[in-house]
Amino acid sequence: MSDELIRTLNEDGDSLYRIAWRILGRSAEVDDVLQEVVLQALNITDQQSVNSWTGLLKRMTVCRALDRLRRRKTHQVFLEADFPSERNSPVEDAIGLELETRLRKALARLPSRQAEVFSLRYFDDCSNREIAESLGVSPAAVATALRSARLRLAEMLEIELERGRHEFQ
Amino acid sequence: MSSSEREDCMTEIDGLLADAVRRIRTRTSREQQKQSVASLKRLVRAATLDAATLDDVESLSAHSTRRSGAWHAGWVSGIAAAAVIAVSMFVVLYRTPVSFGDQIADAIAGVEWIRVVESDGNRTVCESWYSASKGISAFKSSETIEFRDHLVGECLTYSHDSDELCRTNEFGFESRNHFANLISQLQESRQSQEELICQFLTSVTGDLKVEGQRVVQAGDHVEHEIDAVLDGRPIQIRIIVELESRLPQSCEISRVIDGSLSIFRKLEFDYPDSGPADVFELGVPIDATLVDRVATDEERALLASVRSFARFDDYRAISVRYDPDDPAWWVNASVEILYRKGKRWRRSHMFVGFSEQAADGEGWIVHEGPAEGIDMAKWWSAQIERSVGADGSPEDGQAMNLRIGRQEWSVRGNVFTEAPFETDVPSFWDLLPDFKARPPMGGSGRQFQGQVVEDSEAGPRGTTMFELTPQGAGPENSSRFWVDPDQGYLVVRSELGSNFSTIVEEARQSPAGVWYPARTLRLSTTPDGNVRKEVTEFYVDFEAEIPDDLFLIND
Repeated sequence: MSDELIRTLNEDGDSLYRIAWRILGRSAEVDDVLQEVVLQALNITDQQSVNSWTGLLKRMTVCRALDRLRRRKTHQVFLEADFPSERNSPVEDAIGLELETRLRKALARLPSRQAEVFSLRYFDDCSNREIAESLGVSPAAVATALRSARLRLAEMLEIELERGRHEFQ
Repeated sequence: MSSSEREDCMTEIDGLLADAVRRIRTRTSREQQKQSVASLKRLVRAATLDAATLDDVESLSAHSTRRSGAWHAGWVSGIAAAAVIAVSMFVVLYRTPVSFGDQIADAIAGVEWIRVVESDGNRTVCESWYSASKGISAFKSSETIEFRDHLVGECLTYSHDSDELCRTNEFGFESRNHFANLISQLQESRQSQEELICQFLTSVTGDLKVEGQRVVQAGDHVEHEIDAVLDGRPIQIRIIVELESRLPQSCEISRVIDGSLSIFRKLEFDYPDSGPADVFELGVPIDATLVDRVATDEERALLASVRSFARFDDYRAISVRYDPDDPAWWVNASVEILYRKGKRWRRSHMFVGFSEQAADGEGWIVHEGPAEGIDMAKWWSAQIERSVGADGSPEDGQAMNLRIGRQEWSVRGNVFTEAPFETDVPSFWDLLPDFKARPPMGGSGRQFQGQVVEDSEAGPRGTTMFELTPQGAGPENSSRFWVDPDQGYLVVRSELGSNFSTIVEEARQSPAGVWYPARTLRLSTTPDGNVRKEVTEFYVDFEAEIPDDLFLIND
């Protein structure tokens, strides 16, 4: 196992965990995803040299987490409850949790590239340039994919909200 | 990313989406942070242990994990990838002078599926699909249907004639397959525009020269016309690109027949959200006879283990090749100095002088050879000290750099390759200690049948034999490889047909524990029945300092 990989895992571990958690919202699944990523990274060390382990590991984490998110669609997902919020009421917390669930569901339905770009931008604070480097495309392509992702996600959330209103009535 | 930039990122979204993202972003609690550190430390520890174990059994992880496209080397090839090549052509054509190619490349990089319908101007010849993100390519013509899953490395081919659906491992290329990678490779290519267009027009091989280009905007489309000459005959290529999306819509190739232009090839592109999920969606009858030629797990594991050469240590080595029956073998030996540092190699041929003209100008005096029982590594080092070296050929895993230019090559040593010994393996593959006894052995597929025999009586004790026989051929045409699990899956003996065999006579371990051959004997039978012998000896120094400038490429 390359020293560089071990060093990157130690230094960027938190960041990898955070992005996987933001996509999945469940620690057990995040552990599985990270294990998969580490095993895959090991395979890569045997086959080729890697310029940026940070970029590669982030991208692998996003891809594997999204894969797992998509596989969820047939069964109920229970997100981990957060610590009780000091600022929000229980109702607000419940609404927030519902919103999270809907965003994740919508994310799972996005085309892969759009979901990847969206996750890196909003769940890991990557700039368009960083995402472009990680995906091997230009910043303009990232911007295009990001715009499409935002539009589709917003549209899907609105549709879900409308559906919810109808059900409520 | 700075805090101000982070704020910017959140200002790009609003409404429910912003609420949902903000909620997720702020919910990463202290407890989860703690978990992340502990979780990662556990993983790194486990992975480090795994790595030690994996050294000799690479196969365990190789087939327990799905191969994922973007990080593997290799080319998307074959007819089903025509779509990719075709679209790439646009990139190449418009890189200059209108700098349009980058925009097209960007547009294509974001699509889920590309579908290409190819016709001869009148009727559809074939349809192709390609999805870089899903790692799938598919192809359909009146004779064949093909579905390739590059991620799992599987290919399904249906023949209308035989009504057989053949399942094989994916050979010939691995699943890098990310379309963006291909485009960037084309953009960085040193090939000329003409050469790349020829690559696209593989079915119309010949000399092609671009003579002129025109760009015309027509409503919401841009038309690009290229005048070219193919094998001395003028042709015209007309490409239509949608202005807003920058996505190519069609490509027509016409030639002059009886004084007027006539289309002989037309490609129409579209970019659907979904494509074929499996081979049956392409029209293969559900009751087609399945012929399964996928390699067994045992075979895959064995081949993957043999190909674990990538972990070899850096070295400086002397390689000596000679005919052991030659009385003056040391005089006629071929001597080279080899270097490896990471994924770079250098090979320099040495001219070692063992003879000189007699003082009276009559005849030659041949110097003494090595005495019995001496340290041959030291002896050869001393000879090399007084030798003249030819220019080395540095090599970076992608190409060999010679005085005459850069010879591109691609060794897919870790990849399943159907035919034993890849055709594009560089000649010096066989001349390096790290590769010498780890040849590309091929594998079961449409043309070859592989078989693994443990404790084969025909070979050295304790070895496992892998035999590869062309479909329908007799054992005299088989290739056999004896692999020694106790020596890091080194191929200690190999036979290619009945004419060539190589035997490892002495093997050693590198400091990292990787086995390599120190001495091999190659026997080849000439057409007149004579047996030729060639010994190769490697004297490998793993402690030597290897300066980086050894690998510099001299223009």
